[in-house]
Amino acid sequence: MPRFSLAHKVLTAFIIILLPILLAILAVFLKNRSEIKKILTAELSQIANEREAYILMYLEMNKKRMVDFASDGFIVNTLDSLGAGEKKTGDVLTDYLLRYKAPLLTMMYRLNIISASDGRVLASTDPALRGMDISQEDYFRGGLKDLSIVETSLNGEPEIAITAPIYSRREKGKVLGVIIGFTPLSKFAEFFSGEYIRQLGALSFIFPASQWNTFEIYLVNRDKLMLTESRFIKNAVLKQKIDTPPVKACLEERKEISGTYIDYRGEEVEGASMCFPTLGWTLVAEVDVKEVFAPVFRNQEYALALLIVVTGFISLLVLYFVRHIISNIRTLVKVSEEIAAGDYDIRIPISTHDEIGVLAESFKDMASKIKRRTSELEESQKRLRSILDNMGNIVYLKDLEGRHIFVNSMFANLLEKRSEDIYGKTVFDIFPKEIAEELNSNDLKALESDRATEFEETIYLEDGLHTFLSIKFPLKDMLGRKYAICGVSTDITALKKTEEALRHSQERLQNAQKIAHIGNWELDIQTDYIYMSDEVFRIFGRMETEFNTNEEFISSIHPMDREQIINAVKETLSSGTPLSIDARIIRGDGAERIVHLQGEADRDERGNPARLSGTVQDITERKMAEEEVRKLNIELERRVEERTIELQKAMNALTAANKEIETFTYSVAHDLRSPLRLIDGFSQLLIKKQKDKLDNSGKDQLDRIRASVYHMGRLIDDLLNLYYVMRSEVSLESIDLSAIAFSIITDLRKANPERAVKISVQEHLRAEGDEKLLRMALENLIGNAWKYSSRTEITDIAFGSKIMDEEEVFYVRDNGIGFEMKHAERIFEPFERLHSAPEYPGTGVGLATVRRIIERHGGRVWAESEPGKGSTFYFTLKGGHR
Amino acid sequence: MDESILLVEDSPDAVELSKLALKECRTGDVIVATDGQEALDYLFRTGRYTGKESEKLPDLILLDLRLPGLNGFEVLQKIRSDRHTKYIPVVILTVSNLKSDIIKAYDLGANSYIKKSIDFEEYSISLQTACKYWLSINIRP
Repeated sequence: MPRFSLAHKVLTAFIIILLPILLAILAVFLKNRSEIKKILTAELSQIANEREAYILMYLEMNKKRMVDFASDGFIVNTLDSLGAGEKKTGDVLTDYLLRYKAPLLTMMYRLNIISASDGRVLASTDPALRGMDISQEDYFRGGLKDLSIVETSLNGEPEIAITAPIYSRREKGKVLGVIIGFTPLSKFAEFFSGEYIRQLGALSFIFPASQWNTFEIYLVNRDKLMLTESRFIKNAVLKQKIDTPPVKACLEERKEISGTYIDYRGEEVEGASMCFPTLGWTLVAEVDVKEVFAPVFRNQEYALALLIVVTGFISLLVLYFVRHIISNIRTLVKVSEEIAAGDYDIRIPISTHDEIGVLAESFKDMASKIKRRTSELEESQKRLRSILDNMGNIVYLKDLEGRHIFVNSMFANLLEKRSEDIYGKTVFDIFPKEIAEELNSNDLKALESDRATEFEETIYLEDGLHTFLSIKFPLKDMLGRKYAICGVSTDITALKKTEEALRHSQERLQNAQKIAHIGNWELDIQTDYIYMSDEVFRIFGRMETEFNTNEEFISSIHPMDREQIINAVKETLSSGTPLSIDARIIRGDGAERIVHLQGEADRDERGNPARLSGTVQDITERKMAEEEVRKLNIELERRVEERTIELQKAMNALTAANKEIETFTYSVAHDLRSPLRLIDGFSQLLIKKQKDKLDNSGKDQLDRIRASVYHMGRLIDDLLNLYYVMRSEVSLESIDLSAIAFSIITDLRKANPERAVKISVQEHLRAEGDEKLLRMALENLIGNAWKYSSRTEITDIAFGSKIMDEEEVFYVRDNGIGFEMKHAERIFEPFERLHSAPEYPGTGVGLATVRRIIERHGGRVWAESEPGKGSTFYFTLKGGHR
Repeated sequence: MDESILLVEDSPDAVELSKLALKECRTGDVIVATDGQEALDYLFRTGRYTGKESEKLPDLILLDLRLPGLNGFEVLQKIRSDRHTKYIPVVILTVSNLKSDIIKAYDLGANSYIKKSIDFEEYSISLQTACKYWLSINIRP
């Protein structure tokens, strides 16, 4: 809630509106009051004044009457004549009074003549009073002397007695008696009520009492006792004390006042007073303030009621304002805060059609616009970010203190850091001091220069020195103040290297052209001008100044070849087929050379040939060499042909011979075996069928025949094997020699299970070789070991391998009879035997076969032995040969 | 036992030894052809066997490879290419143990290949075994 919310302001306005209304009402009220008071005071004074006048007039009139009566001739004469002490006088006078004087009395109801001598009532309009001693009464005493007006009370009723002395005519200055006229005070009410006036003959009298219910006029005597009847209190006359301000003012200061005060009843009254100083009376006219100002108060009540109604309406308005408008405004405030917080999809629960509603709509509109703008902005930022991230340049922003406030991903990747880790850091945080100083001084220069400035900056990165071309420029805000520096750096390391490489390459090209005698040239079709590299000039033996047009070029061609060249160039230009032609040229020094021309046409946008560019190479030496080679080749081919024919002949002869040998061998094997079978077969038949006729010696001889046959068979088999080994193909594969050795030994042990043998075969010996041939070799070697150790107590045969002179050597070792080392070579020759057949039967072909097999595998075989201690046969394999 | 055997063998000595060996087999007739042509004449009723069509074809042929005139392979090929003789079991009997011979024989449709051992006893046993197998155990179409 804001400190001075709208509700507070509305309340303040409310009070500000109400206050003048209240003040106006109050002012009207006060004004009314004072006006009324003014009028009232005037009126009351006037009324009091009038009534005072009546009273004074009445008293004056009756004083005159009394004086008149006192000077009445009849009365005076009577008294003078008869004497005042005579009863007859009283009768006469009483009669007289009643007859002549009483009718004259208006308000006075009694008239007494008191004898001056004894103070007794001589005559009276009230005969009952005759003789009554009133000598002690004040009015009598006063009346003797002069005219006086005295208050008195006879029979309890208050009266005013007006006395006048009756002077004797006979005796000058002698007072005969006193005539007294009594008026009851109650009669004074008639003055106030208007009755008196009416009695005097007035037709009407306006009495204020009709106007006010509480209006009252009364008289107060000098004893501050009420002389006339109270309108409010019964029997008040001479009983009710009136000690009010007007009475006090009259008695103490002889002042007549008007104003507001508290009357004898304790009521607040508005009054006016009149004083009768001689009598000490005060005439008071009063009316209750309550009644007088009742209309004013009533008006005031109306005004207040109006005020309440107005206040109520205003309150309702305020309430409505607060309830609807302010609460809607608060909603809007809340909504705007949420929008500010980034929630653009806010729903605004306002559906009024007033300005607030419009405002709410505007808010929604604004929110959606902001949302759209924000998303556009985000989109744009993303786009910008994406562009910045994906451009091949490094982009960065630094504030004026050099801290990075933005870097693109290229920058981050280059440093192998995350962008967030770079933000807030200066170049001094990132790079070594010298580099950072250089970068920073460039930044400062760009800031000072106030425009985009280019720098070449060098930075060490993990993969070496990198050169960057950096464009740096200050960024300015809307007021044109610089607030950041932006840099765009391009890694030109590769470009630098390329430049360097290009320079090298051009150098190399020049060198290469020099070495290879190749020059390059370019003919401009329009101008006929030919650009030529240095090597061209060297090849043609001409100066640059005299040799740069097509014409000059053509004229340096051998006349015989000119047309050919011109046609070839035309062909290349028209059809686009590359130019490739040899031609003879005449050098500047006159020497004839052969060159090879190569070229291609470049076309302009319309497809017309614009340039012809290509190379020229001096191929004189090559051509000569080629010619030489060609001649040699022809000779060579001839000789090869001759030799081929010879070779073919030899081959044919060889094939025939081979075939013959094969047939022969086959036949030998076959034909030698067949008779042996028959010999053996029939020998057996002889043994079986003629055993009775044969003696032991005969049987023995037949057995010897059979043994010879068997030996012969073995010999044939071994020879065939040897032959097979010599001519068969060696097929190479990876074979397990250990497994082969093991299976051979197993077979041998089966054949002679009674022999005590100790066998050790090294496991997993593998070799590249022909399995069948190597099995044959091992059969021979292990078979020999088995055979030549048959006489030892425990046969010990081992197969294994070891490294000798960085070469794997396999061996078969036994603990047999062994042999002398002088025979170590001989034993590998066919049919060579060291031991006799009966002792150790064999054909003498086995080891020869072994040597053949090993040699065919590219290996060697040899033996070490000592008689009686056994032999070891070694062999190596090198994968064999085909 | 009335199964007949055709023995193709050129050497009379060898024939005698083979016959001796076959005695154990207790077979029926052992017909002997001393060369390839004769064997074919017998099988296809040609040459001197013309008109003997009613005679029963042999139940087993024991064929030597090395024969005068037509050799064993040629005879085998002919036997296998005629519908009357193509199912007759042919066992090659030879002294050759050359791999090339063995493969060629099987390629041409030989049912079995037995090397003639120099040891007569061994030879007898292998011949008898073959005889028993092909005549008694094996079931022919």
